[in-house]
Amino acid sequence: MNQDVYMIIADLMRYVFFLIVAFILLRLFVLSLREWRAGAVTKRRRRSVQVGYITIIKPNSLSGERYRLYREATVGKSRSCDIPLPVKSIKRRHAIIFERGGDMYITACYPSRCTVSVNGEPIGRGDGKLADGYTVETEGVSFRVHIEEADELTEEDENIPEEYTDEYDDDNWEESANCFDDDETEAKDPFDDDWYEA
Amino acid sequence: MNVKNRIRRSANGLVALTVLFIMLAFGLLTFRDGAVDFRALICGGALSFLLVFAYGMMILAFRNFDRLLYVVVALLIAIGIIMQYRLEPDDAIKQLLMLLAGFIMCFIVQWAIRYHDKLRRWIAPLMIVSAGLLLALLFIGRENGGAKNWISFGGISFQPSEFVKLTLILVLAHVFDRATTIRTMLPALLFAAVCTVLLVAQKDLGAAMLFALTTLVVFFASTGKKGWTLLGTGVGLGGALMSYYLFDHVKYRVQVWRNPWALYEGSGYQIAQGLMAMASGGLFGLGLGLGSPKVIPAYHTDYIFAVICEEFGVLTGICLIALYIVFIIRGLIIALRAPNRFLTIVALGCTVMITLQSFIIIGGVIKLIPLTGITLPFVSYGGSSIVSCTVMFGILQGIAALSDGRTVQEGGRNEH
Repeated sequence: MNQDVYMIIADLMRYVFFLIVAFILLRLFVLSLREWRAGAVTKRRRRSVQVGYITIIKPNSLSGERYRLYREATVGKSRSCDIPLPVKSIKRRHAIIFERGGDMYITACYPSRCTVSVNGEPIGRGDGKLADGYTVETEGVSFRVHIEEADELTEEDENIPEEYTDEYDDDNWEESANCFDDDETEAKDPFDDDWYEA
Repeated sequence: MNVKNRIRRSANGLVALTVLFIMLAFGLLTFRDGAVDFRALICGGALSFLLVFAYGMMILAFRNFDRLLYVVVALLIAIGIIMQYRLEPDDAIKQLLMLLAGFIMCFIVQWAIRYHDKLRRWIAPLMIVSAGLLLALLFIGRENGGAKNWISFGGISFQPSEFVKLTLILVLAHVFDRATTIRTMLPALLFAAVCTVLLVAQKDLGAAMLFALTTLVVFFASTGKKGWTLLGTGVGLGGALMSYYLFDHVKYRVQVWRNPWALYEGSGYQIAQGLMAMASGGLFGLGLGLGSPKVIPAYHTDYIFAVICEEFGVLTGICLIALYIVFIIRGLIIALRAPNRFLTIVALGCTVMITLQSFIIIGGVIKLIPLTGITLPFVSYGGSSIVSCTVMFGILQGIAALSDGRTVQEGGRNEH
């Protein structure tokens, strides 16, 4: 091929090369974003399965309050926690209650700075197994755990159709996971009032 | 169609597009010198076949491997081999053979990662061998490009630091997985410190910086200890400052970085030529084969990014950086879905190691930070580099395949 012809073709091809690389990159970003969002929805769905509730025993100011317990629930002073406890001695993110292999566990977020005990036994850096009727004590707060059977997450729940990924909104989500007495969340409660009295 | 299926179908299309990119580039290179160069077509065909074959094999053997990560790596490798062929056709063929070896290792690692529990007992001996190799370099190492970091053995030369990288990741993951206090983390931290000091002693500053930064990032990510991380950063900065005053070559590098034009006739020549090459390329480049990259020293290893910018354009260079960012995203997704904490830290370590390496060398080439001679992962010429990078890629893919695509790590700690 003549050198001039080569130069003309190479000159034109540089745009083609850039377009191909840019297109691949764009698709990679879009697909990664979609996957990330779908994963976030899966996590939320997983978390949103209610497995029971907790009843506060101490401190007196909160005594008798009930909070819904999800498959994954954060406990802490922060309002964004699933179980927000407005107590001074509690950390913003204090502990996590989670489900593993059909059992519920609690673990401390800062095990070196606060102690969490289940039925009087400190869990230290490990995970404390929870069962119906167990009592959890931590930094001046104690609550009783009430656990009911929850259905296993099915394969269908995990394969979320794409249209679902746009349904959830981060800002509004946290609000729905709160105390029973909150009027706003009461309206969204899928269970009727008799549920926790049963 | 759900997200998983859409990703699978799109990834197939993207691999096909990568093959189109390769064939167009090699098709162009076939006619570069007036005469028809059939070797370019064969090389392009072999590369395309290798990438498609490896992709197909992964689909067959590991159902849940990360296809998008594969596309990222395939495109980086494609750009690398195209540039190698454009610069030195013989080197490109050698690199292709090393890539083949790398992919074989990648498959072995990908398969072996499922037995990580049993293989963990080999980490301690590996640690001793790695430290020994780095120590041996001080005595029997061969100097190349200012750093004494090569070992020649029976006619084969390799860079031990490339393989010590893997050991470092495994050691960090092994120790941080179970350790809760700094005292129990000491073996890993000491190993990282010894490696870094030995690399500085060999004048391999790029690798030393990479080791130190990777250790810091992995330490912070796996322990969340802010105070200790800040202390580590302080110690690292102190060490860097000390080496600036102690070693002449460090001082020289910083001087060159601050004003390469003043030392244009000497050691500033490389940085200055690199900057001029990128500037002459403009947004869309001069066109494949139309630049003059050979005026830059180390054009096919450390300075490959400048050559890419010259011939493919700065916009493609930015896309290349963005590809490494996608690599981080994919790596983090794999790390978060890993079935246990050890594999999470290993995946994180591999991701951090590869992306930090790319940012250190790209930063050096664009004169953002002082230049340190390391390779651009998957792109630069270098057998040890491509093999170690594909092994890390294999580890990531192995971990992705282990998390069955739907297991999200449970809150809190994992069972051991």
